[in-house]
Amino acid sequence: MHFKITSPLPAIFSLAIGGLAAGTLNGVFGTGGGIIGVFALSRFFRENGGYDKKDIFAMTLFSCFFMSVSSAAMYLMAGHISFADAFPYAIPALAGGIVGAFLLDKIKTSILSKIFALLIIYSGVTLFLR
Amino acid sequence: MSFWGSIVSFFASALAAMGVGGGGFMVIYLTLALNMEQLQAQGINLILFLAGSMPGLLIHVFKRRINFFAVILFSVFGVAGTFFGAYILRAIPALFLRKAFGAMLAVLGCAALFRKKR
Repeated sequence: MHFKITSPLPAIFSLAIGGLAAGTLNGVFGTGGGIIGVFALSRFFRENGGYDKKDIFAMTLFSCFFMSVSSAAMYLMAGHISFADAFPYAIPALAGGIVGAFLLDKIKTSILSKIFALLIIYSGVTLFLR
Repeated sequence: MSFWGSIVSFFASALAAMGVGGGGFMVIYLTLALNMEQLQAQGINLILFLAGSMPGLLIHVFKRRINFFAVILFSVFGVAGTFFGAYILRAIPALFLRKAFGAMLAVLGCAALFRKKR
């Protein structure tokens, strides 16, 4: 696919700021960088060449993977967790990841996203008030 | 680990891989249902994300159009951001961290809910 940056400096700057913000959230909370990634990359490619929503999501996933490696390493070095803590949950997570990756192309996720967003809002408010 | 822990881990990972978002869900389960410490829950969530995202990454390399210039650029600054995040984390008391996490989820949930489709 032909890719050309029409306005290099603003495009690079916006991706850099988005990356810093996503990484900061990832480092503080262990999650939350994904939605910033989707926003930043969507904006970047809107102006610089068309990739579809699922391509943007895939690129966000790649970026979040690298950020999470960094954050996880810091959590492990600081002694907040150990592999033994996480290992029991890792196998179901791996299985879920395989299923989700195959379903990405097969299921319309817009309604699911809205339901999940409502659930996240409710959970967030509960955690905040607890 | 309980049966329900496995179920939550599976679905959180599947939803994340489908692009719906699942990152906060595991932390919510670990803190609210199992009364786990916030930092420990966040750390476990990070490792689960790494485990759950690997199959998707392999599939995406073959099926999706990945612009590695944008990914590398975003990731380099993202990794730099994680160091800044870890630095901030040291200054946040545990109780405040849980509340801040809740507030972050509520804000991002609203952003996801009301985000305009282009």
